[in-house]
Amino acid sequence: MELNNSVTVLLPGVVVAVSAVLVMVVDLFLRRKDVLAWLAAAGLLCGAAVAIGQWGEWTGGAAVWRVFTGGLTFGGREASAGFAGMIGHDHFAVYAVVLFCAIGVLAVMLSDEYLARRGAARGEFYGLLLLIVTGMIGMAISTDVIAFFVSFELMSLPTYVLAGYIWRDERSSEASLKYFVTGAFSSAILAFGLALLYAATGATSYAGIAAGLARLQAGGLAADGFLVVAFVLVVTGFAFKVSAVPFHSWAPDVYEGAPTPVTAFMATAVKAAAFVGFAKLFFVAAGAQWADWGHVMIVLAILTMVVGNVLALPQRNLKRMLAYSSIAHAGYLTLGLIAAGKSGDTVGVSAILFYLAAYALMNLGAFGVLIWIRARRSYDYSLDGLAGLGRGMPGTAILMALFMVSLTGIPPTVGFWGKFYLFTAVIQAGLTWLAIVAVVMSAVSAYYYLRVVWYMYFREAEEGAAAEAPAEGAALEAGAPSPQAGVAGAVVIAGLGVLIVGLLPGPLLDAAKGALRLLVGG
Amino acid sequence: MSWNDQIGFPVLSVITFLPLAGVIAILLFGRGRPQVYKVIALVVTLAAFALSVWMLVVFKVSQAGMQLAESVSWIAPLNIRYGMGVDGIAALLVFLTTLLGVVVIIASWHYVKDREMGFFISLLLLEVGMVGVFCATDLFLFYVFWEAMLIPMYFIIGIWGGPRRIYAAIKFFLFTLIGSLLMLLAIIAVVYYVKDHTGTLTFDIQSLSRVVYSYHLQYWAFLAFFVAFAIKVPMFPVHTWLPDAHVEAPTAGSVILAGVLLKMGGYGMLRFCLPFFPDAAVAFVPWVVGLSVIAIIYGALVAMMQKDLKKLVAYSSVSHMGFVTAGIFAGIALVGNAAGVEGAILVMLSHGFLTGALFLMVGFLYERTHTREIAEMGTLGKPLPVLAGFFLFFSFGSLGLPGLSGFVGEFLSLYGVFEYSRWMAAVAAIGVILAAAYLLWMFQRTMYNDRGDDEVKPSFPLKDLGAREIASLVPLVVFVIWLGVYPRTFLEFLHVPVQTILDRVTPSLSDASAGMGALAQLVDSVRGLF
Repeated sequence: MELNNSVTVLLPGVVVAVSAVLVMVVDLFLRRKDVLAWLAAAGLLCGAAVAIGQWGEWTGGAAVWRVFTGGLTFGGREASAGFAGMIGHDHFAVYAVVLFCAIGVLAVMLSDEYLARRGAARGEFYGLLLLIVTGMIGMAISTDVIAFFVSFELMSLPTYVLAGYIWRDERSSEASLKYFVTGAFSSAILAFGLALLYAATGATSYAGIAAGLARLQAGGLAADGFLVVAFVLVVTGFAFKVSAVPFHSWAPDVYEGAPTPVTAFMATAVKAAAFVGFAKLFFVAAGAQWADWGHVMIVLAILTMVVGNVLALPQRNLKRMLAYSSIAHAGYLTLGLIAAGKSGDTVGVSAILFYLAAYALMNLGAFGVLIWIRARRSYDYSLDGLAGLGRGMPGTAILMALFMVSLTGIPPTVGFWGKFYLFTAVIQAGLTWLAIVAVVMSAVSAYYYLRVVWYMYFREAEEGAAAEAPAEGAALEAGAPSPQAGVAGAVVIAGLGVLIVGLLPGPLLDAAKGALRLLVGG
Repeated sequence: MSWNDQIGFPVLSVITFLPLAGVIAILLFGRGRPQVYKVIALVVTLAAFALSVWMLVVFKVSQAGMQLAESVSWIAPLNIRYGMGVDGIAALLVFLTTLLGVVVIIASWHYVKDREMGFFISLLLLEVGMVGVFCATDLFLFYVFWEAMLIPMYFIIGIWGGPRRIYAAIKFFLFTLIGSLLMLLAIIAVVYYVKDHTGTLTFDIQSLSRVVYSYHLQYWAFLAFFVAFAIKVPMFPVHTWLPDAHVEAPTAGSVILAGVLLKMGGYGMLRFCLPFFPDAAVAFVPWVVGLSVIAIIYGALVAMMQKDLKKLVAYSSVSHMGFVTAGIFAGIALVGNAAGVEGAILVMLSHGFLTGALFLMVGFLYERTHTREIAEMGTLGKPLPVLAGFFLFFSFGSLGLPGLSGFVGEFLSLYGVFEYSRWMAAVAAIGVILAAAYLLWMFQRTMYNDRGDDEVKPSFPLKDLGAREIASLVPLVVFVIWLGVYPRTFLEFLHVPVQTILDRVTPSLSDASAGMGALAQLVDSVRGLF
């Protein structure tokens, strides 16, 4: 029974991990490499389907259908734990698993064309990508810091490899190295922080830590500097992963240097996983200790929002601009953690969950547009290169404008709802001044997002600018015609998602709320 | 109460979304066929206008509350509803919007050369947002329309505008966005205040406007809403986006901007600032009326100095809109001073007709002379007698000639200010005199020759107004005279809703004098935030 349950809890992760192996094995024996993308996507979809099906309500697809119609009605079974409390399955985890798998599918769609064009091996790429998703799933279902840390590393290590996947490209290698060094450093800090938590409480499970902390508090020892140091170290590890200021300096270089599909994946999935994992850790294990980590977080959030948005202003390379923008969004997201910690209710965390889905849609869309343009003509990811896009590629330009409007947070797009929900959580937690800071910063962000729109529509392309192709592009594009349909499909899906969820956010709001129904006391 | 008098036909939704249907029709059938998409645009705006006239006809002026209401659940988890409905104020503004919607389509028939289909689509989308703002009875729906409207306007200025269009577009966007984001925070605060105190989460404007909010919340939320609307009006000192936006915008953009978008500021104050936060509103009266009077005089003086015809009309808007804010806030400062508020709304209507028309005239002149510099014009009255006639008519209307629409509203609004403070009314009245000065001087310098030499002649033949251009002006002429001669038709719509607002404010009047000053209150409530 115990083992059975454990396997059940782990099943989505197992499915994705097996698919990873399967993709790499099939790669050895099959000449037609375009099958691999389908295989990887299928694995991810199976993972998501299993996660949804685990609610004991799996009756021939009815549960899947409910996701799209009335929201997940998580009734029936209770959350279940497995492997002696190392991992646990709850609504929160299901939401996260589905989110990671969905992002993974879109990332696969975005990658295939790129890999074919650059002549890079696809089997390993998808294998690593699926392993990253496995790690993410692990972070979502962990209820013990050891399982959490292992999953964290399982997610991180393949990411370093993917960042440097085009190893002949100097910038890509540089990005990988930078990411690896800072990432390894932050992992060490995180491990140290978790070890201190263990030392203080004598437990590694979230529940055990929470109980230990409560004991300490009861004994009047909670204000001990020891705990503060532990929390600061854990927060630092978190801040590195989500590129919060002042631990953000790797992000622009890595985002710019890494292959664009990988950047899109990192900016959305890795960030989402870090937020999901840490939200659970902070909220379940240390929710009562808000005073110890909350103030650090507030400083972190303000710095992140201000620096991210202000430094995005002068960027003229879109990948760098989106990197800073993603830093800024990490700042908004941190507000959700703060609100949840301060008010002690779950609105902040469900706001994070909603925002992560919203952010994934619009950011994958924006990166997808860049990949799409790059697939069609030579393009150096500069703002100037977008001039005249409104005339040259009208459909693409409309979608890009939609993503930018959504990133700014203007209705009727999904980005607006994300911000609205987050600000609501912050105001309800009694931190209106923090919401004002966030609002002012979103007004600043309007400038650089709208600048993309104005380059596309208000400026004309210079004659011949598009004709001179950079040397590397010309050399590599000589290959076979590339499968662009995947990119187009992903961008269109993201665009429809941004608009439809923007008009009818009810089901997703329900899902994000429902995800928290069983988390407390996880 | 008529809150649920669902009539079978959702006329407001149809008016709002007809232009959107037009956009879809254009995308399906109009690609590359200018005649087709122009006719589609004209037909849908005409239909929307006809429906809005019908709406005014069936509207029961003596009935309080929202009429023609529709309400459907939209976002269930937050109890956000798709709620539409109009009171007298909103009904008149919807009418104004759809009227100008038709006018700009006619006036833009040959105006745009580049990406013409996109231009017409943007105009139609803009109309969706504008009508939606006036019809929404759900705070959230209102906000969505309010923000969504920004984007087509941004494109209209940015793509089809003048040489400094990018600067103007981004300035317009950022100014408005800052205001609306502050408003968003206030919306959240208000809604959750109600939820915490009554246990129900609702975004229904009517329900929310019946709640008594705490002083702290009132003061900062009033300010957040007020700043958003003041930027839109625009009030001195946040008016600086307006001249840029107007000068760079294409004619149709200027007409819509002056005719409808500015009205949203006044409308928002009437719909939200006063009924939601009556105590704060009363406390801020001296400040708002003072700033309005400054705007009246400052706008007029700056208008007088302009060399650019379009800028002159733009600054005259700043001056005229000062009467709106002054009238509204003077009207709530005393019991039974409905004249100020009603006058303010009439100024909004009249300004919509007149300034819309003046911007059209400037556009027509520009199409003929290819300049907006007043100094380069002159003696145009001789080759363009019809144009000069219309121009004179609208200038007279704008300067407040009795018998035309400008007079009624400004008179009532000034009367309201007079009741509140005589010397402020005296200063504001100077603004009316200045308006006569700059408008007549403008007419003289463009249409007559005041340089005393007959030799200044345009180097190319000038064509007088054509039938299409006259067609776009005639409806405006009709309503300018109608509103001027028989304002009762319009005032009838206003008595009940204005009284509702004043009833809400009245209890605050006695408290305000006993309480702290507005600034002290504000400082106190800002401190409450931290």
